[in-house]
Amino acid sequence: MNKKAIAINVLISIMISVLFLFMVGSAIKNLDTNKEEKELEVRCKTSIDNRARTAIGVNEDSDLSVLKATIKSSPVLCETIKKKLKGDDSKVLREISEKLARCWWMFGEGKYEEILHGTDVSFLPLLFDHAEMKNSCFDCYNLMIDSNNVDITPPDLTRYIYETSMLNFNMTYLEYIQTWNGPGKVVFLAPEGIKSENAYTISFAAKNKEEDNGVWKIVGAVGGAVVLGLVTGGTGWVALAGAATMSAIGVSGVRDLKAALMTERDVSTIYLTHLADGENFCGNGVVD
Amino acid sequence: MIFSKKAQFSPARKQMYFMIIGFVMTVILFGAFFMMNKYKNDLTKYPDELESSLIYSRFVNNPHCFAYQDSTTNRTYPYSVDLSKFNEQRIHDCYPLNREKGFERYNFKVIIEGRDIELKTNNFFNRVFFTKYYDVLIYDNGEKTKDRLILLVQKEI
Repeated sequence: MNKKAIAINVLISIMISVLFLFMVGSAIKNLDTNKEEKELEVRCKTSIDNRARTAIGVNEDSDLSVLKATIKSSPVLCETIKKKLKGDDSKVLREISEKLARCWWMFGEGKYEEILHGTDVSFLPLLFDHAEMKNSCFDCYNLMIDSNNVDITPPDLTRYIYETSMLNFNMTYLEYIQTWNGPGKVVFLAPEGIKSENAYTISFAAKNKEEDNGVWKIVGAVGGAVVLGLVTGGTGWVALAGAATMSAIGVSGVRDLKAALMTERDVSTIYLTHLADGENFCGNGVVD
Repeated sequence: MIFSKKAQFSPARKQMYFMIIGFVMTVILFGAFFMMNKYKNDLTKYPDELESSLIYSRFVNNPHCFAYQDSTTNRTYPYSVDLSKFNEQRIHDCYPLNREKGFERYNFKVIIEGRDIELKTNNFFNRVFFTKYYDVLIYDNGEKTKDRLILLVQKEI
């Protein structure tokens, strides 16, 4: 075989290999479309764990270095799960609480902060890195209430996750999110409660502020949302219920408050919101 | 065949060259393919309103939905609502949706403004993406009145 023939042979074999790689990749992607709920949850959890384990940090703790970087090579393989909830108030409450906990579980139970953030490289971090993080957030579930008689008020839900033990775990839903592994918050942003024939979103949002910047204090002042969780430093509770006061601050006030609550947080947070708010403020994207 | 030392080096170097070129060429090939595909998709893109309007125009124009049809002449009056047809069964027959997975398609809530009566498709969960208004004629037991139909449109959840 002459040199030209060898070269062409190699060239063709490489092209065939790369094409095969793409074909196998797309076949796997297509196979992936019709997964069951549990499979999707486990796949998401596994990908998050892998992402955390394979993250590489360069001078992460030092602002004095020339280069500071966090490289996350493993992708997030999560998908928003769409689910209809049927039954009476108690059944829907149980399902929603289970999904809150499940979403927290999928994203590492607070063990991994900033897990959704992509690769971050900063040159001379002391000068150029302002510790501003993007709103990394993921809609775990779109829940549709497919019953005619569901009417759950914010205090009902608050009380339920505060008092009720999880199905397979000997602690309450709120204890699990707040204290098991890492610190967390539950924010319930649907002031009129959970109603029949409406759709809601459960979202996970990673921590994106180093310190409590006052938004949560504002919440404390207006009492407009149900917020459960540890205050920065883990010393106390913010537990407010006030659907009525939410209306007192007006439509634009509610909108601003929702925007603030959904975009700034000092610990990883689980949100329960209207589907529209979940889609507007959170979406299904991972910030890369 | 026996190569000299220089000749032995030459095919090896060319192999490396072609390995790199082979990879780059494949990436360029795929890049061009995806770019053309994106261009085609951009050219053929249409707004959501168009797709949904093609669906919901049936409510007021099709006699199998709510549109009034003269029993003598069989003439169908466009942009009309026969009140005797305005019921749950009719909306489900006119726009059938899978009970379990219907939320993956467009869903509608139809309201006759003046009479404050409404109907919903079976997977409407109040996630309204846009609202459309139609001036329509309402036929109620031979009586004809002007009214407005409000259509709340929910896209795939």
